Amino acid sequence: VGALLLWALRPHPFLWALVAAYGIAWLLAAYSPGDRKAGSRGVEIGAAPWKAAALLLVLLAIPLLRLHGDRVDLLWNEGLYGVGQQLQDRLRLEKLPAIAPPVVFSDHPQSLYVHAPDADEVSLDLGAGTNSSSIVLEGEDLGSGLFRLRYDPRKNGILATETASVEATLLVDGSRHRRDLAYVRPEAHPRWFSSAPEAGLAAAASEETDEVFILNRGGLQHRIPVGDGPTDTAFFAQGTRLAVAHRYDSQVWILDPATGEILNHLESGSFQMRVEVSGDGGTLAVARGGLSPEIRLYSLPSLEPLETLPLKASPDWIAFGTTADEILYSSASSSNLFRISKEAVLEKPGIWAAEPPLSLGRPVVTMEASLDGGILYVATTDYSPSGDPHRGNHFIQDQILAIDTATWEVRQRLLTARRTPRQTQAGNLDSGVSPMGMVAGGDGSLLVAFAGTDEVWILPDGLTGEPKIIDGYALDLVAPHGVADLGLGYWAASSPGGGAIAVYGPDGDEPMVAFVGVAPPDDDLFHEEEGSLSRQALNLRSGELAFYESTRSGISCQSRHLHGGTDGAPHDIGQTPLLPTLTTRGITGTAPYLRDGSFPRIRDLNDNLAETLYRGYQRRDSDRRLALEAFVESLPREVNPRLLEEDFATPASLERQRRGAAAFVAGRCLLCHTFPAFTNLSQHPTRSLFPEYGRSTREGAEQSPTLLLDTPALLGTHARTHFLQDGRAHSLAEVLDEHNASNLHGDSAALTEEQRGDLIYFLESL
Amino acid sequence: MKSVSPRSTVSPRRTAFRITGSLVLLASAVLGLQALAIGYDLEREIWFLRATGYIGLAALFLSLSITPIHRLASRLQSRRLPPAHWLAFRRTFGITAALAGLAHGTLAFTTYLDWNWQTLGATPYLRAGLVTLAILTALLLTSFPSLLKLFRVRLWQHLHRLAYIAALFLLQHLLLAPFAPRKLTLVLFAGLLLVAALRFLPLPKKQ
Repeated sequence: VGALLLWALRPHPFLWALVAAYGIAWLLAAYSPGDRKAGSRGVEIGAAPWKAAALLLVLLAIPLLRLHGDRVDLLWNEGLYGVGQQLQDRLRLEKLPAIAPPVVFSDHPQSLYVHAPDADEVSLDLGAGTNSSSIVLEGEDLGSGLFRLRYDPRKNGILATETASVEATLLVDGSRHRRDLAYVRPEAHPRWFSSAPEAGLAAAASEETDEVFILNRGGLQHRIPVGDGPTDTAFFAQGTRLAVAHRYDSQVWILDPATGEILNHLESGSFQMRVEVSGDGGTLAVARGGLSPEIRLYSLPSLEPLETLPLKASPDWIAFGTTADEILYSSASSSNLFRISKEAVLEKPGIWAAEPPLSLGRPVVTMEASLDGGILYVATTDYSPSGDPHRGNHFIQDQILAIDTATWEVRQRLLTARRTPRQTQAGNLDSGVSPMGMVAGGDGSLLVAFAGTDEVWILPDGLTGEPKIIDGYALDLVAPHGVADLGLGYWAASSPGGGAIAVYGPDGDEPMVAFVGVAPPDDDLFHEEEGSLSRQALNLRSGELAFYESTRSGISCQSRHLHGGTDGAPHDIGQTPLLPTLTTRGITGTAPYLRDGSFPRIRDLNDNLAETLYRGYQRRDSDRRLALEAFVESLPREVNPRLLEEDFATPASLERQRRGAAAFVAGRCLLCHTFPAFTNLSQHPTRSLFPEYGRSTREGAEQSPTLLLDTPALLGTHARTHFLQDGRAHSLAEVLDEHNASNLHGDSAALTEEQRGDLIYFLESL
Repeated sequence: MKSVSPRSTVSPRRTAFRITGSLVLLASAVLGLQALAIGYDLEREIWFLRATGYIGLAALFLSLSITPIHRLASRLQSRRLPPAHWLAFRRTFGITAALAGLAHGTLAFTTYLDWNWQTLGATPYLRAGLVTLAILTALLLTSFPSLLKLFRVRLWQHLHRLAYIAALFLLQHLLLAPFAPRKLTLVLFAGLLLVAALRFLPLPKKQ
């Protein structure tokens, strides 16, 4: 009682404060004047028991109420808030044989890893507990008890289940071990369009469901199944042909949009990110990412290969300039805009050369060239001509830049995020947030879809003049991404999260002409059973919309987590030096989150960032935090391009991976990056592993010695360009060498050069 | 004159000290030999940290389990062991826990934490470990009658009830510490909870 009363006098929401109060109370009692002898059991209360109880209750009421009021702070301070999630994830990884990640996707090739010490053979039976036929995956032995299971739904088959979890059985040397895995089967997601206004057509691909949707001015014309992971489309031959690029299929498919017939396949290699047709209609460009980013050019309409142009970065968007000899491209991993052209090197005409990139300060969110290619419209979340990041705290300034492709200069800027008379709180930004898709009209107009505020703006003359705003009520689409020009004043917009496309006409009062639901509506999904894929799809839909929805401050998750990943640009998110946001992909089952592991669950980021720092959302949704968490946990990590390479499956490659895994063990990486998730989900004082860290940083600021780092999962290492907790290492070789001077971040000193090479090869294969 | 066997002159405390000390020395020797085989400095440090931590954990658990087990034993056996033996072991295990905890803390501070005292108060699991250590040290200092007399300590039983609180802080320490296995932690504490429940067994009526 005394301890609680003392604590309540100066309450600190820490457990040590309660113990200290007890200690002080004990000292006061032990050394207070009186005739109690050593060994006495304390003060005897001479009152009746009920009176004593009442007295205790009165004395305890205030401190207990105070303690109750401070319970959340106390739990946060003690690292116990949401600790159940972290415990659950860690226990799952400790339960051998363990499997990671704990989720299976229906829409792309993926790898699962199993840790089964001393095992010789491992296989995974997916869906063994269901009545339907199961899928058995054989494990590749990587040594040291690590096995890799490769699952490609196209080759192995899609799971025949309607539930959002899979009963998986691990067969380890004949013994069976049941494990539950989440199962994600996304609905159709039509994103960005290609337009053929002269033919009144537009097309959008759904990468998740391997489909292409072709629209005309009246609505949906065709819904066509295509290859694995369609990423983009482009019309050519006056809208009579449609090229479809794929991420996982090595061919570009050529369709007849009028009939939906598949006419041709163009071998172009996998990881086709974008496809574009030049303004004169004579050249088709296929931009590829993967291990060797490049652009492949084909002549049209013959589809004869012309040239292959290597790129500096994996392309995200491409556009032609004023001629077919000038190509502009952006990368999600770079804050620069790139241009390559034939005219760049006058001494060697006909040779493609890269020109100096244009610094924007942030990566391009979306871009669109004017019809003549003279202007490139680029949407970003900030613009810094020097390339240096702005130091504003959580600085996001959505804008569209008009870039003169001839002079390679920014000619005009339009800051889009703005407030309207609808605002309910001071400073609300409720219009023009997160420009996500653009299309240039033949009349010089520009249509822009805003995913953050559910709008489409029609800018009559490029970036000049007041926009005509089609707001959420008239648009009736949530988180719109793509816009298309269908000609004659008709246009279309897509909502990947909502699973819908709509066509709009020139009528100003009731613009919507047709609404096409390409995924089941909410009501249908809701009426299915709890735990079913339909209910999961509904939850993920809510979460996806929350991911793109603007907070009152004009910031959404998408603002920094470009396409659900990261924009890779340095931000002041409350630390020094400026750091890029971490990717939100592939993080399921790896609680806690952020670099220091300070957030136990995704939902806590919504509560402590979006709802407080960013002042919450205009739209009320009590389930947003859980839906957002479910959506983020459903985001797959980027597919390793090596998985699709033929060389990767050769015995020589597998042997080198085994040697790399052995080097991983020899380098004692397993102390923290334990199999199979390549993390033990632990947090360490940064200076315990990097004693030299922060004593003289690249920005000259000393780092706090209290800084913690969360052990990152190494799955998906191939997609990273910067390493260690502040991205200070630019390669894995640097991590092993110059950033491990004290040899505490693994025993890299014990590894030979050959072992290091094998280790890097192994890490890049994960 | 009646002869007295040498065995009967050994006090329960000394017996407990000898047995516990032997066990600790044996465990230390085995663990030390195993540590010699570890070539990587950080791994060897972690090995020693784990060893001292587990010894302290085991000793604290044994100390906390003595009274409940004594109660159970009292109900099951017609010939009860003298309470002095139970108390002696409880005390010795408690002292061992505190000493192992001090060794664990000192090792952690000088090796893994690299004398980084600022992080002790700022990191929840380290803070929990520090509070555990502070409690055990206070209990250690008040476990010797001579010191109690010297400092004129009264009401020491109230202070020693903090041993249960120390166990809870230890649980927090282990649930958040980077290298502690969570499953083993939960199993051990569940076991302790079960054993502690025996404390509520009523003592048999004196004949």
